[in-house]
Amino acid sequence: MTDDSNVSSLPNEAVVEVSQMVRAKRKRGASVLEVFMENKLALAGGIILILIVLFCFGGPLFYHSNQISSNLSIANTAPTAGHPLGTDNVGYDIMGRLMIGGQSSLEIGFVAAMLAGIFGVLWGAVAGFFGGFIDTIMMRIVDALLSIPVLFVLLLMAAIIKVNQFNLTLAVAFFAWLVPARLIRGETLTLRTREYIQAVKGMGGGAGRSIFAHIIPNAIGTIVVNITFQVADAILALAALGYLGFGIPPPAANWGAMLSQGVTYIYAGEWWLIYPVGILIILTVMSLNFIGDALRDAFDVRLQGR
Amino acid sequence: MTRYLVKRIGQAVVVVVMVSFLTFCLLHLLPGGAARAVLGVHTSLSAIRAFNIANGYNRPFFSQYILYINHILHGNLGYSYKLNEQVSTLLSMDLPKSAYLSGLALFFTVVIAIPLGIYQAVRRNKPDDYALTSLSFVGYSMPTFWLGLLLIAFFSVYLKWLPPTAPQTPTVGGSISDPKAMVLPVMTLTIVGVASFSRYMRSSAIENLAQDYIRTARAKGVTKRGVLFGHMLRNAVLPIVTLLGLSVPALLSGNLITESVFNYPGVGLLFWTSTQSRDYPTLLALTLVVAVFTVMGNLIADIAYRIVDRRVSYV
Repeated sequence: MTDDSNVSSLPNEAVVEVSQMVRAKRKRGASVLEVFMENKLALAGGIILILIVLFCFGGPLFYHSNQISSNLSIANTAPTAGHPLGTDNVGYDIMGRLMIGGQSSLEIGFVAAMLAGIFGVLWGAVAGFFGGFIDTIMMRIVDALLSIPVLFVLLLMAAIIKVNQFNLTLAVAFFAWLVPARLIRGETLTLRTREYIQAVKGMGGGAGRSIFAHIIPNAIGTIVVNITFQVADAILALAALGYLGFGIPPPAANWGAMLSQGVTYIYAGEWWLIYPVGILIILTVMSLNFIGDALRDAFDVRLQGR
Repeated sequence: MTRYLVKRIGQAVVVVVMVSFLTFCLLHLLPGGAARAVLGVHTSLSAIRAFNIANGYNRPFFSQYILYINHILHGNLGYSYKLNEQVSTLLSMDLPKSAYLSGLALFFTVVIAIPLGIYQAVRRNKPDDYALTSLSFVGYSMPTFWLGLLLIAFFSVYLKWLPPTAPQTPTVGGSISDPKAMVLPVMTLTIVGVASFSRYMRSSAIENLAQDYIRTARAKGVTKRGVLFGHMLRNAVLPIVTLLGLSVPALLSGNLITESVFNYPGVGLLFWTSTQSRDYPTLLALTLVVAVFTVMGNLIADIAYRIVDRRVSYV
């Protein structure tokens, strides 16, 4: 809006602006779907991810297997009718194990990414909104934590405390909030100078209102995209931890531990211990990355219409 | 430029001090304290007290921190009671070997990923681009340890071309003199690196190819090759410079896994064996060292970016 625009034209312009915003909003909602429809990789990723979630969480309802007690007499048997993917080194049915292992891998990944997303968004929005000294302190803390590679810290923690699903989730989340915090801070820095945030201030709205009602909803795209990638990274980090011997101990199962257990039989030709779980990990991480890429395109206004 | 350098280095120092405080706090989080970690669970209370007094652990928290910093500044990173060696000695032995491995992997990553990314950008959305994109996604989504083990299974067990373990010599000279044994570890890290860097290079090249200066150059009559390598390359590589600096944590994590898969006696393997033997002084010292490397990587990336790209302001 230029300075010389007269007062009488204001309501009209406001109406136009609001209707544009509504249209933009509707367009954004539609464009997410459109991008999925256009981007075949993302569509495939979405379908694969839904199938994997159904397999892990719905599968045990139809496919019953004993995942509580081991049975050494049937250890390492090749796939048969009773065990379509064979059994592992202590006689657990692999098909059923993939399901419950997937549950814990996905749960840890999603819960950690959500926790990290929420905390990171709050941290970044507060730092970016207030700026100045608070921002400097808050972001240096993020820098400090970011400069310790996650795998090293997870190993360090696993060496100090006893690992279970709960504290593994917390540990993953503890280092996953840093990147969203940085992204949201950057976003907030540009958002806080916009007219509508200034308007909130002018009308006496507090920082909380600006942050929760305006800044966070506008940064939602960045958050969603980041959470997608975080889940993928968490699943890979869990796999690495499992290989290094610090996964969740049995009878609990997760894909990382299953794969690292399986690869010790890599020269015995017992492929069913390795490939099903390995391929599931790759498919899950890949689908999440495809979806994340597509969402980024959908939310990134600059790329729209390309 | 000087002002920017001073400010940026000052920030890096603040971050390093904070990291040192964090690792120091972690030492205090140890169940039973450092004394139990070093002397064992069944130690007598008097032995613990003697240990605490000898190491200054009976002093107030902040005074201990000052002592810790003082030791680090004098090159005393702590003493590994499990390996009976100064951590700094362990580091001086293992660090060059890790640097050699990472350096080689990084070199091959850059040499392969940059042309690959440009090729994909030129062939954007054609079948070969899709094939390469899918391959890089598989590489990225694959757990590193599995990739390493598959390479061993193929090249060492099936083809019998390469040894399955990395060089086992204590010095970096030994690793250099045994290039055949270095192939698989370097290959593992390179595949992981190429998978992500070629993606960045591809999008950076695509972005640059859409710019006006490319059209101008083409209009002037510059050949396709000339445009790509004379004009586009320099601009498209810029973001990669930053990414290289920022990739230090990923590189170190990759090193940790690769070194444990191939039993390569570097810092990563030292860290892993220390977690298994609960060698806390070594773990904390290594965490600090790794963090300092990351901060330095970020710092160098930032400064290099400003030197290469004059458009970026110095403030």
